[in-house]
Amino acid sequence: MNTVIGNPLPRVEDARLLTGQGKYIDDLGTPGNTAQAAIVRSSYPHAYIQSIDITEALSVPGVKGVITGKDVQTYLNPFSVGVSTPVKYYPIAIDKVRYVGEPVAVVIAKNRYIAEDAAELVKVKYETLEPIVDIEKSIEEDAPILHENVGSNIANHRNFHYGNVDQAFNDADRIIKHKFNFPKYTATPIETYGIIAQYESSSDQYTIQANFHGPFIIQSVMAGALKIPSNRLRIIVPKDIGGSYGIKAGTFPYMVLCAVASRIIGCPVKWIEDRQEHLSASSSGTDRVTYIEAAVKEDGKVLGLKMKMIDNVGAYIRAPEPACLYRTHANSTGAYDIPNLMIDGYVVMTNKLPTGLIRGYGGQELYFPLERIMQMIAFDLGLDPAEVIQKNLIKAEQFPYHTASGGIYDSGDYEKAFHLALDTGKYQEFRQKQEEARRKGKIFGVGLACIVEPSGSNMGYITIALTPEERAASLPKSGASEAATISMDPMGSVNVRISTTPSGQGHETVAAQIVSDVLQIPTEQINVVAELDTSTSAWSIASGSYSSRFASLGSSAVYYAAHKVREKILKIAAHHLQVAEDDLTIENASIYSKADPSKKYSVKRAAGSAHWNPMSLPEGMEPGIYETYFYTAKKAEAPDENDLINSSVTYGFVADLVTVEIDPETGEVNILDYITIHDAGKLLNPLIVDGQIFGGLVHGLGGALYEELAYDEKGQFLTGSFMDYLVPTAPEIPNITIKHIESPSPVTPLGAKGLGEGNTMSAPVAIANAVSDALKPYQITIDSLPLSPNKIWNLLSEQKVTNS
Amino acid sequence: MNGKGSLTLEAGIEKAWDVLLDPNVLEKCIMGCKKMEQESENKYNADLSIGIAAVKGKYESTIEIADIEKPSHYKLIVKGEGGPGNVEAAGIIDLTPIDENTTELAYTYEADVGGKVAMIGQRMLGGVAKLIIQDFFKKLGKELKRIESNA
Amino acid sequence: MGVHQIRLTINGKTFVEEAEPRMLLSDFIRENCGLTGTHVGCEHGVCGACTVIVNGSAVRSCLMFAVQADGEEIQTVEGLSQNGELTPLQQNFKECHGLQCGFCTPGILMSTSDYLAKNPEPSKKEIKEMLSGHLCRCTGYDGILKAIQKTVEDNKETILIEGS
Repeated sequence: MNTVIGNPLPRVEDARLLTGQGKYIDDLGTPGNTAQAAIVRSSYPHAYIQSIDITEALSVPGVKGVITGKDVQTYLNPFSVGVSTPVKYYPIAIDKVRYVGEPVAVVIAKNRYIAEDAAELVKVKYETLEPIVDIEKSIEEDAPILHENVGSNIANHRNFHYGNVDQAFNDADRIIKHKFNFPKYTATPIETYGIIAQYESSSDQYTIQANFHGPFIIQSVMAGALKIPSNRLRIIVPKDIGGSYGIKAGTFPYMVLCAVASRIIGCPVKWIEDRQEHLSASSSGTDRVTYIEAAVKEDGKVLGLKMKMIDNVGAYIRAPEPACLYRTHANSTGAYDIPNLMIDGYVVMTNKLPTGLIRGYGGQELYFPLERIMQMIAFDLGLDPAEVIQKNLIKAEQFPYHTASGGIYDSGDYEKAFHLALDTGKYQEFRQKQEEARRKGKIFGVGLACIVEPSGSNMGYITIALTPEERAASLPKSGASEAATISMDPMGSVNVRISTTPSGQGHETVAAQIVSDVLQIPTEQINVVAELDTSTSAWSIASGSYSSRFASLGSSAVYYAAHKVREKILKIAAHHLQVAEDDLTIENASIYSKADPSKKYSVKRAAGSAHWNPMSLPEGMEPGIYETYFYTAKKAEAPDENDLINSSVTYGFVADLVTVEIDPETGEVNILDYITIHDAGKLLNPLIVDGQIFGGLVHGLGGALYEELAYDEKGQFLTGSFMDYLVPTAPEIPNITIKHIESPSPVTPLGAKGLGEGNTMSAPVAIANAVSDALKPYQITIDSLPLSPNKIWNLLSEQKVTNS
Repeated sequence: MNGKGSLTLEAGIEKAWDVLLDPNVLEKCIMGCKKMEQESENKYNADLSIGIAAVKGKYESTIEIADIEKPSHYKLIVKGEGGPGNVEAAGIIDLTPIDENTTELAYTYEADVGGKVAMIGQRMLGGVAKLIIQDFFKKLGKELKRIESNA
Repeated sequence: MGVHQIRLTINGKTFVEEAEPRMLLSDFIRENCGLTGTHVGCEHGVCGACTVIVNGSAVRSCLMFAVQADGEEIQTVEGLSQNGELTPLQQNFKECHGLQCGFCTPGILMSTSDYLAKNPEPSKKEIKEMLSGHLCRCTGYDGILKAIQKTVEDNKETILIEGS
């Protein structure tokens, strides 16, 4: 039997993308009367809107209308969100603005140029209010309050105790503790948000085309906001999305805004976001303050952890937050065997851009304090950081491993991967080089990080934000599902419909590989349809592309759907050939009897007969070949009454070793080598895998050294263009070595786990550990990012290390 | 952002004071200032057209003179609101006589800039502020000369 | 604002269209000429996605007005492959996995085609410098570098073979 799964097949998507034939949202045709939108946005971080004068704007020729929050309120409910705090979030400011860039009015005109002309003429009068952007200050008594009806800036607060934390801290030889700050940054896909929205009054239906990629639980959130039954909200996603890394999940408020605009103005509305809008008003990761305490023994064994986390979701808490804090709940103790855990989790709101999904989602914010404290423990105890990691890593024989907070790590061999990292990076040799270099006054360092990469989110985890009592009073959520549909048409050609809305991850290619293996037909003959249409595709709340779920969940749905097709055509062939089904096998598009290979039937004929000659089918069999499979991973239950939750269904492992040299004159960090070892279970397409890993690593590199959505202390947004928001370019990329080990997952049919977010979660802390290690002789503590030359230089000059 | 500076004016303190607080002079000397109208005592409405980096625009502004201690001290408050963003700046001016025909002027200022202009041109704002102030005093110097020669 | 008539050739075909003086070349190519392979990523000349060739030089079409291109010869990504055959550079992008979402790709292909025509044997460092004018958020530039290096190597071999 031929197999293509696991082969580094070049991608089917490339042919169209390399020749300019991609179909992104801005390339799709629109109805002739489509108008374009330009959005007027707040230039204040916190203010009441006193008045909006649109008379001059309306007088510009070509303008069809201008809408404001007042106009929109009749048609909308606030968006629902997974916390009980009554925050009212609309896609446009109603009476108050709460972040720089918040939409205040929408101008609809013949074209974007005219719309922007008119937008400049909209006059908004504000009464400014005291802004608040500092995370810790936002929960102090006298902090300015963003949402008066809430009365506090805390959107959610929960406390978790697992194991026996007090005992652990009593038994400890030492308590090592520190406070860490993680910055707010984003992922800036090169394609921005794009929407074409239409309202049809005769059926009270909205049809919205957008580069939104789920999670499709948000379809219900949008329908609720638009005050329509969910089958009157048709969302269509184009097959090509120009990157997202989670950020385009935040398209949804704009989809609703354009939909309502279309309804009020009476024509389809198209909006393509510009880069300044994207940086100030799309979506981002959270910034977070973490107080972490580790109870340790002299030999480096960690007995327990306490973590107080204050996560900043920006001006409005919106779906799917507070998932930012809870996505990693099951893997809060990372790769370490630590059964005693306390988490005090706050989700706060400040006058900054609202957050949402981002590559790594919660992982980088979690692992920064965790991996940093592991190094600090080593420094404090006079041990090598590798020793402390080794002492605490979960051992191979402990799998499936149950974490303190309810996670079930499916498989892994963490020690093997970690040692491979140390060997590949020549760790001991580097330590010697470091000694010699230090004697010469050079600043060299090596950083380690071992992290668990969760993938395939369990939709139940979002309810961990509620208390067990609140959960008992509402409907439970669970499951990590995905659907796929495979059909064979009258001529026997295969169409595969997926609901994983790819944005560059090559789903079409991998889906074709899976179907090719199961049905034994060449990949070139398989047509994979990546467009998603909520009225016609098979989908569920978990559908979409996020939390690296294609390899674990999307692929499983395709696999099982393909098997349903396989079973059906085998049944048809068995009936035709008058043999038993289990006697049959498929090879090279031909079904034949193992006992007597001369008895054969082509796959094409078998499929064809289901259409052309349904009377020839076995008794009770439906004509046609059209199979949908809705898959869910097991072990994806809702949280129990003890707040135990397996927040993801598969868990990979990443071990990083990074070496750096720091220039004392400029504070510049130069990465000498980046070694990363991955265990993502069975790899479906190694070419695509390494591309995902590399890309994820560079996002992590950006977070470590270059990227930050900067606000001044008065809430003014400062990084509104690529001149100030620094995205890594080719010369910034260091030498990167990627190696793999494969511990297949027992959870998924193909043994695959998700990947692509691992290094986004690990690189910021691996690099920070390397810099911290390099600066150890100067007693400099690294507890914030990005590690810009400015920051390092200041730290060095404080310790009088520089010459200036 | 904030800053300070000082310069010498070729006029006695009383003359310097009168010229500095003359709205007609302000209109001529503030860069991009068009159409200045009195709204109330010591408060004026004006349109300021300024370009910072690539962001050019018109700011509907109010100019207020406050904390008046004739002839040696006052505060100038400029608030502007426009498409490209908003500005709120306050300058404190102190005059000290050097002799009959020369006066020293010392100033400190604080300015907050918001909106598009801050998002994109943030690194340039300090320099632009200095430029506007330098330009103001250059024009003011010329105005003083003109008035002196006409007297 | 009045419109101007603009006459130019794109990928060998003549286009005669009208546009306001302030219309960007990138918008003109996409909307008036219907060639959507050229992408817009930032409109301030940093990301490079909109790069096209104007009169033999790579140019950021978001920093140029359509009227400035009147009478000029333009090449866009649609004009690279002939008769449906990928160019060696495009073929190598596919083999080396030099693209994922594909949004930055047209700009990189155009810059690279222009660059290699003028610098047939660049070092890895020089290729990285050339690429510094392009932002990619998917690949980390690894596959892109490999594809370009392979194209340079393949060209060297072709020259050797043709020379012998």
